[in-house]
Amino acid sequence: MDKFWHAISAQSLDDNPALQIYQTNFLAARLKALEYNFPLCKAQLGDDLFSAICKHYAHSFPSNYDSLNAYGQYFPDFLKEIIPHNPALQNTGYIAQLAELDWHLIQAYFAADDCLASMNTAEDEVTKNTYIVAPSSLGLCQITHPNLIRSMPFQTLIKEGFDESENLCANLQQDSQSTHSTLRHGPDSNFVKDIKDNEELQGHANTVYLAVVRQELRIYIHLLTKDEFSLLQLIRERTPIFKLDKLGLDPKMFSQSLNSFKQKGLVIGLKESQMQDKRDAKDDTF
Amino acid sequence: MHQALTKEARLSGVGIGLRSPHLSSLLDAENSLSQSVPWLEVLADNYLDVGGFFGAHLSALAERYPLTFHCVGMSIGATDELNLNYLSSLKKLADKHNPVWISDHLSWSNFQQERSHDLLPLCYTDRSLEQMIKQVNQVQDVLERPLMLENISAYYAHPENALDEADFIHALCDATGCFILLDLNNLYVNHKNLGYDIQSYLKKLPIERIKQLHLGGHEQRGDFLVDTHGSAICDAVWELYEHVITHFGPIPTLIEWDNNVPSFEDLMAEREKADAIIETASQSLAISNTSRRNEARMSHIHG
Repeated sequence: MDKFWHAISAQSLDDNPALQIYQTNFLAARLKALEYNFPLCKAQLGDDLFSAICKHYAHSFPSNYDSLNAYGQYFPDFLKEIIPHNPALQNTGYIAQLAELDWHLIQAYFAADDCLASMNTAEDEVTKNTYIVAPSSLGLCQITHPNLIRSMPFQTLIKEGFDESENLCANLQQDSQSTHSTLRHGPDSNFVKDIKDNEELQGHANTVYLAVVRQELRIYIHLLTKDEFSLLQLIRERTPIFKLDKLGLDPKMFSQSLNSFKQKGLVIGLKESQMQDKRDAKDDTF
Repeated sequence: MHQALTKEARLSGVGIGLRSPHLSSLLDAENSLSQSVPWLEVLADNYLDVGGFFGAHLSALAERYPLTFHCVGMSIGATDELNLNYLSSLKKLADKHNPVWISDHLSWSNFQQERSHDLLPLCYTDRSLEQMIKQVNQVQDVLERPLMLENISAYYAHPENALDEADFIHALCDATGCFILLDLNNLYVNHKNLGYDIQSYLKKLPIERIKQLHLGGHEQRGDFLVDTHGSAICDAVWELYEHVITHFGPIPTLIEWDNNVPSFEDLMAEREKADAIIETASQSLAISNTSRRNEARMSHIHG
């Protein structure tokens, strides 16, 4: 079986036509997964260029994932690395950031439902180990490429998000045993073709901070300030509340941000990282 | 050894594999075609640890149809240890939706930490049988349900093979109490690709262990038939199906059409074709039972 595996996972085609079928399937599963997981990138790069890049990635990154939804985790970083060395990508410097957005959207789409947690824990219940829970669908990304920031489809996506139930019924053209869904955002997601300045984004001229999240059955992309972004990063890392409190953040901003996060479903409750004597942390609550 | 599920009786007739483009038709209570679907097969791997719309529509479907879970990720024939995280997620999903059956394939797909996401052919040897028995027992213990295993389509036979596939399956069923999902298209494809003798294969299988049949389409690629589930079922497979239903009885059957997914109406037409074959076979069986009873009565009178 070792020999068989090495034959079907080899890059060069085997002489045996029977093994070639397995080799083709082996590669095709990964390519299909990348196609489904990075629809915006594919639309932007076109079929041929996207397919060539995906083959390169698939040969470099084996799948260690039970689900092909998780394949492509390093695709945005991979793109970042190859852009400077690839003349075909010279005019698409934003593509790695678009891939990152793609990735967060697909992860939000398939994320497990969260168990309900309460945000209303009484102050004296908060311990040194209490942390704020972020939903499993939460993705955070920064967009810095001016063309991407100024593109109309990008702005529309931020403004409207998308309803995954509509998206699923309208856009799932095929799914197979090993792959799942085609997520597309309109018939032609040519992100940098249609550029227009947007007032809402004027304060974000250099960097746009985004949070992608699923609330009910809808995917939202929220614009954040830099401070909100940093705070959400810490929350997602399960930083205990008392440590967040000691970061020197403006208490008013901290409290306003948390309220805004709650409303947008960017935080969903409080949890204890481990059982510990609550008396230890009484002075550290907020 | 796990007992067969009491819900087994719920599964009869010809079901279809769930595909997303058909979701709205299947959930539409007014749709007369969907009303005739007796059960649905769900690719469980698509729903493991997945929420949102996927999770919600599965719950809605589970309320309306009996479900069977079909899996592709157990890699039950691999020499590696079983993936317990995968099994635990599957158990969680099964506990939530209570499928009539859980099935996977007589194959392997993982090697060390890597996944092929394809169904790879087993080596049929005493040693692999022993390993497979261990793994099937372990899966059934984790899932607390009996497992059903499907024969795969293959393009390659390992030179080390020492046992016949049907003998291998029979021995596996005897040792573990697992059941068989007999894919007739795969059997036909293997007959063409690897020279399997269909009649001899069928004779060797323990009929009482076959709890489901699969029918699907294939494609000719070079010298091989490739199991693509992307087209209508061919005439030869329909003939084989008729033969099996006539001789083995009305085994619950599934129409698989996963790629180039047809319209709901076209899929249902294929389903009805299979339904008609079951119906005809059942009628013939009823007639022959009646005449056998009449003959017995006559011989009793004259006796």
